[in-house]
Amino acid sequence: LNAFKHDAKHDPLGAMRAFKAAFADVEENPDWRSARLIERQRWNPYSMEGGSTAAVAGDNFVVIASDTRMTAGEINVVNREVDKIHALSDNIVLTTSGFYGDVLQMRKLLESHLHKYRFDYRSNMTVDLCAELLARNLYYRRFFPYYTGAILAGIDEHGKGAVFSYDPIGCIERLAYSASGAAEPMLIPFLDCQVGHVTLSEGSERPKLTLDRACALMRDAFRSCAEREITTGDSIHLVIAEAGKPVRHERRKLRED
Amino acid sequence: MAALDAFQNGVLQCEVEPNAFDFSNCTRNCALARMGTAPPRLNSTGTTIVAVTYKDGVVMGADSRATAGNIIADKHCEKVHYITDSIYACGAGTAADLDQVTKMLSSSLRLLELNTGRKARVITALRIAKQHLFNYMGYVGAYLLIGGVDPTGPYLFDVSANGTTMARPFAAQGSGSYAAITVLEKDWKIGMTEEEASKLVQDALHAGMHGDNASGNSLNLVVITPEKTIFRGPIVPDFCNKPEPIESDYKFKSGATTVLKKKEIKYDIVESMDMH
Repeated sequence: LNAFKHDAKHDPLGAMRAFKAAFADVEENPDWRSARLIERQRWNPYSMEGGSTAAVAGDNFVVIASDTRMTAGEINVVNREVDKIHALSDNIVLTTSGFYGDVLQMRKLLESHLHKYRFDYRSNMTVDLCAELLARNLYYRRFFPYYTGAILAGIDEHGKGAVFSYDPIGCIERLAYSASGAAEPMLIPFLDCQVGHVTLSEGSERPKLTLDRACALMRDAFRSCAEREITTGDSIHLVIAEAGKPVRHERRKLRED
Repeated sequence: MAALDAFQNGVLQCEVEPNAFDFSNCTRNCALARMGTAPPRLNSTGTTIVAVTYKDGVVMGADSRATAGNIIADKHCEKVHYITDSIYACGAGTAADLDQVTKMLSSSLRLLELNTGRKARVITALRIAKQHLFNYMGYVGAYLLIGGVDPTGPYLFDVSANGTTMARPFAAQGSGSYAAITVLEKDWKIGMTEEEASKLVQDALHAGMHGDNASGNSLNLVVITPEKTIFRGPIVPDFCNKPEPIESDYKFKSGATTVLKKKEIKYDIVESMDMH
């Protein structure tokens, strides 16, 4: 496969040369004539349970939302009331999508770290520290990763909302909003438009991101995702963390088909 | 040179066998795959289709969702295909294959009706479908439930992509068939009335649409009897409705999009057709 690599950007003619080489190769060894390597069906340690999740940070709050459907192999519904958002403390909320076995393990790991921190330092861990801790824990498993798209959200030391987004091996980025899961390609453009205002011209008035607007946007985002993505549905689970207040949960029904 | 020859060979083959598939793109597609281009995703109707025979005729139904992988490509896809006035086919599998196979069946049977002067029979539709699909060894991904009423009575047949056929009193196909068949096995009985059969088909479809992610949105039914054929749909079950509507108004004020360039073109009206 790598014999036909070409740099499409800097060498446009190279694409044609690569194609001609690939074409000649196929004529000599076509897929339908050569002895097919039958790949043995190896046991896959991972499985995807479907569903999606998103988080939006505001001035002094953070709104995290997810659907509550768990699927087996994208087709069968296994559970309609699964919790994908885990409030680890009043100012740290973990939400993940992907392989549920790793989700549970990651949550146990973080909870025990938070517990030990409380024991050692007699105060709660801040979200910035926890974010760094999660990144390191994900990277420890660099060669057998936690197959999850994690999002850590919470209220930081200055009372501002924080959203940290990770890839499966711990690349950390602090963002204003993030999404992960099966419907991530639908959620991110919607949030880019309504929260990031990337489509608005410079002089346009940008609506203020209040808690009510953030909650309404998240609910609408998931209603749209349930329309077009098969593993998202059943109900929306919203978690709202505000500076100085305990964490709040809200649930709304979604379509079940 | 070799590429040109391959293309010409493909073209010649088209002229020689007008009814065969054209394989002249195979080499090119293989080459593209080796270069790392991802092949296009085929639209497939991950589906629930159900059909039931009752005292006088046949009731057939299908959901209306077409998926491309895990995305819903079409929310209102027609899966109950017209073959003749008294024969319908519900299809699961690759959407394009189903459309073409059912169109082919429909035109073949119509020609047969015109040539013989008799109404086409369901078993004929079955035989044509089976012989076509077996020819392509399952690569034409069409899984059909062919049902209808002909002068010899009501029939329901089940055809798979590799050519297996079976006559059945009730049947379900598609990814949601596991859920649907449980309802059918429990509640189907001999000598049902039209209302009971309709309700059974709807219940089976509900089970499929609820439990299977790749089926849903709405359902279509067709009731075929010796005297008439009634098409009912789209019917939307309660759990397929949005429980709450979209909350906010997503309108953009004027001026939201930056105008980069403006060009004014002046033109004179030479002739106008004003119709008063």
